Amino acid sequence: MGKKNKLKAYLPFAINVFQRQLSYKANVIIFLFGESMMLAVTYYLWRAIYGNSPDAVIKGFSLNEMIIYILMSFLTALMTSVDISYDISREVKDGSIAINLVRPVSYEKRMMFQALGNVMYNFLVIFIAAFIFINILLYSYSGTLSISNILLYFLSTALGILINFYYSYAFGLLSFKITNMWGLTQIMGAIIQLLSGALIPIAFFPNIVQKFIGLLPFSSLIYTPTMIFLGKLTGTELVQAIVLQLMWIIIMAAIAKLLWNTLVKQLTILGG
Amino acid sequence: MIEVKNLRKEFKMNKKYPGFKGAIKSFFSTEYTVKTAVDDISFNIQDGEIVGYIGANGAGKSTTIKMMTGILTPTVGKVIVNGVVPYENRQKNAKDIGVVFGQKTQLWWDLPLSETFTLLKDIYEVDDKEYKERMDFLNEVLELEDFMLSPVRTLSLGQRMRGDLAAALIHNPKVVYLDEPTIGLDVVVKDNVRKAIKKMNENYGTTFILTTHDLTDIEELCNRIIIIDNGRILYDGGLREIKSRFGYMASIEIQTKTKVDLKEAEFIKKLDEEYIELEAKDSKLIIKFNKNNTSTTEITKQLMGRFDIVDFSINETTIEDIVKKIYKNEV
Repeated sequence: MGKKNKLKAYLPFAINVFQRQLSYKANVIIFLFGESMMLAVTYYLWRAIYGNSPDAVIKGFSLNEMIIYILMSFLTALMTSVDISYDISREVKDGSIAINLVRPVSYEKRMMFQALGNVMYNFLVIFIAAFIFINILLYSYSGTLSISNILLYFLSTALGILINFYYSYAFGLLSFKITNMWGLTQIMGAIIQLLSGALIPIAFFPNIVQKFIGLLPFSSLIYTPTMIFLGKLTGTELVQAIVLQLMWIIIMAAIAKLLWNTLVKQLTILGG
Repeated sequence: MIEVKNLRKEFKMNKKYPGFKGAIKSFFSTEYTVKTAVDDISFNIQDGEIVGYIGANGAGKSTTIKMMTGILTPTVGKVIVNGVVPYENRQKNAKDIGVVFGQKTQLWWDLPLSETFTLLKDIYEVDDKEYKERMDFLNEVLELEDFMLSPVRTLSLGQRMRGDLAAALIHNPKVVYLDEPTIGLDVVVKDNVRKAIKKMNENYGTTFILTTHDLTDIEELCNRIIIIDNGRILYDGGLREIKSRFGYMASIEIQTKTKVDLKEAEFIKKLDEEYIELEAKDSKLIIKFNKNNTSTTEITKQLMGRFDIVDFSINETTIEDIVKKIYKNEV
């Protein structure tokens, strides 16, 4: 069978997730409400910081840039933090993984398409509008928009989505062995918040810590695309950042494969 | 077709202690107990057989099925289905098998039933002509038409189960595993499900392996049964053989006009010194006997003269009685 048919076999999984998400309308509203609260808090926090600082530019960020950074990093976090590990651990817990494993589909690809369904949904329902808004805001601040930055941002975000997918997938596979993942998930969530640049730009950490965090996969998720969008990564730095993202995709995918091969043998199907 | 060789599956379980103190103790303890769910099982199944795989709860039926479908890896031993080792080559094996887990649905919960079939058509790469042919066939035997367009979550258990069975058969699999396919169903639906299994087996030569607690399923469908208990095979053979081997017990029940006195019937015991049991309840007399030593005709002949009989019935041992006996280690 050709490639086209193979795609046809997996597309239903993406579409199904997309449809399921659409049916939970209240979810979107509550989500948007919660996120705007967080945004407001962060916004006023930074305003206070800049207001009390003698410098108009802190660590290379002006207040306006910081506002764009906050908005963009929130939006990028939304796109690059699709939580596949939750889906996996739920399937293991209720035993429905059994049904999914007796189908002639690759578990990894299936999960990838489910993630794709989520990404599509986030993209259409939230991203497009928010992205246009941020660009208008940026234009009103600086008077210019860089098409190349926007295009590179999309590329970098796409890579970030892939890193996150493999990371979350590999993490989720651990539930084959550890049935209750709640505690671990909380810890990993906190680590991501701190190290991905979602809370504060990584430029605010001390130099050595920055170097270290910069090498971890988490900064590739949110910090790299956002900095590219702001035009703060250029030339060799930009190339390095994207190469690093590619490297992490390869490493994470390899780890995921390894975990799958070892853990699938230890899987215990619960229930029935 | 299916070869199972010295199959063994062990589960490691953390040791649990009772009570709150125990919960804390087991949290820090690294001790575990090994439970052997399947213990050295071997059998072969030929093309086109319908095999009943029965055993009490927790006997290891589902564990065996899971290893045969490739979702569990055995601790020791080997399974080969169609020349493929299922747990090493899961996807390849999955193309040729169909599975129904009675307690879990494989239908897309939020979508109309019809949608599940079109999705499965793509997943299993069934071509249009075959799909239509199979769909017509399944529609006819399982009567899916009425609820084809309803979302799966709104279906009744019976409808859902028919849908599940159809979903397992849509790609014309060579082997179908049914784990309690008639659990919780009413008689009419059970009959529907059995009819579908029988027809699929006749028309397409599909091999079926089914676990069930409903022994009527077995009597109506299977020509061979495997009984397991505590992870070991107790019996593997034909249904008729097991009946002739264990089914020599029969009983006659008579209803008389007047109250039966047990002493009046004692003389029957002369027919077989070894085993005849009598039981009297008001105007009812039950005689349990061994068919190898005496015959129904002989006993009735004797009874007719002595009692004023109103009603009369003969009960052969059902497979259910036999299984009960085997479980209780009476045989």
